[in-house]
Amino acid sequence: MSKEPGLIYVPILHTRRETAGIARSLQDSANTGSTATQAPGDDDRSAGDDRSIQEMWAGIAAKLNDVHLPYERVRIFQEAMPVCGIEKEIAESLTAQGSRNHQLLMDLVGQGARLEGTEDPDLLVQEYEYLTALIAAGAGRPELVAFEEYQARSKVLMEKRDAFIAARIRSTIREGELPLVFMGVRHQLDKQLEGDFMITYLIYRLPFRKIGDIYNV
Amino acid sequence: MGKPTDKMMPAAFSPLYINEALLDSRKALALFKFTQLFFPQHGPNLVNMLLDMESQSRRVIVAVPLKEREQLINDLDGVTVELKCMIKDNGREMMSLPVTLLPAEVLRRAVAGKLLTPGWEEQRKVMERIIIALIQKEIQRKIKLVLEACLKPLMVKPRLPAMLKELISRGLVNRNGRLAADTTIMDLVSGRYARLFADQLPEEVLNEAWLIQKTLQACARRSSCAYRSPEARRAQDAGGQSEPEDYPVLVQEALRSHRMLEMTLKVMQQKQHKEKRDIPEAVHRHRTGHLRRSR
Repeated sequence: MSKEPGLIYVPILHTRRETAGIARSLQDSANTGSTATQAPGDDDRSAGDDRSIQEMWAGIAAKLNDVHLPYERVRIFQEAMPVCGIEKEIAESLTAQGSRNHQLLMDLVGQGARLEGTEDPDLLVQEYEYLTALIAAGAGRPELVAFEEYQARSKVLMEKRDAFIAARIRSTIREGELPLVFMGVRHQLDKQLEGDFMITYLIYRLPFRKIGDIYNV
Repeated sequence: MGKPTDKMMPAAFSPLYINEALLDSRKALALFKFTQLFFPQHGPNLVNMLLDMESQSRRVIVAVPLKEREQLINDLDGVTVELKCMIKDNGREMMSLPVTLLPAEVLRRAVAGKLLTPGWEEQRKVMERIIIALIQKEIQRKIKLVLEACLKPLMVKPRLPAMLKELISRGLVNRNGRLAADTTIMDLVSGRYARLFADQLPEEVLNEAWLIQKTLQACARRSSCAYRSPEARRAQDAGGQSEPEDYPVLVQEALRSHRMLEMTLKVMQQKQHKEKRDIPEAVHRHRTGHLRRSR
């Protein structure tokens, strides 16, 4: 019987209000040109989604609390967290600006967990450029066409991002340590880690249909 | 070895078959009561077992050692399990729920943490349509009973109202005051029975019937277009390229990713600038406006 090290995988989504709120706050403080896109009526349409996703975060926090992880041996890997040496500062800053996701990370760090740089910053910038191009194209071309182009390019990039993260986890984790991975639903990192880790999913199925739809992506 | 299904879904609850013409709410209710009496656990357990296979499969498979998983998958490759649950009324098929399982594929998808029933959404829509049809039939039956109860005292009067005579002569009401079997709510509210309906029923019942009609219409509209965005419907109507059903969700997710990345990169730049640390080359290019990458 093979003895694989364990890994806890948490599939996540961000709330639109969470991201929009932080983006507005950043714009106010930094005022550096790039603006977050907020379609009219977004808040109303997304209120239900956001409530569900807030419930998801509360559920994740409760589940983590239930499983009593040995946080002094836990290393956290977070989607979109670049390897840059100031991961904790980034999480603190995003927490201060209202990110429920990063607030949870900081709570876990407070209990002894270590927050690791997770993603290749170059690849993150590339993803950002693709998304910026998609949003810019929305004004002049049919959105669907632009989106399909984005999907095709992003799919290749996502594989690279996942490969980097998987290599990062493998090289960082020492014997006896437990990786806790927060990854967006578009990632397929768990596929790349199969065979190296015994993956446990913290949430098996989210208790609301709309998020279930996203899981079919 | 079983033959693989056409769709090759690891766990398919399809094709669902319902004969709506035969589906009768009284019989469905009676059947439900019967199963509750004689099989209090079996019905729910079968459904729960199948749903659990989807929702709990990852947890179950994670407890099986890697080598054992692989061995199971290899041993089960090509095996198909087919279950068929069918209800007949007087020999005619009223409902069937075939379940097809590809155990090796179930295990593979469980290991990958993927849903087992990708066609679930379609199946759910079919079920929703059937439930609406069932509700419609039940309401129709009840309204017919109300109207027939109103007709009953009229039928024993020596002088039948002219409208009722006309209906009897056309075969729409029989001598016992029963309405024709295929009577619809539309017939009652605005169709062939409308005058009788308006004459014989209290105003509250009439208003209630209108409300029910509107509700059912709204229900039917929602059922047929609930999962397509207005843009998708417009594109489809215009004969253009139609969006995938999950397109709005995917776009929202992309926008969210964009915002989250924007925040993270900005915070990273601000912090690194403040602390005079080295900025990764790509981030520097991004900040200075050189967005296109050379590699």
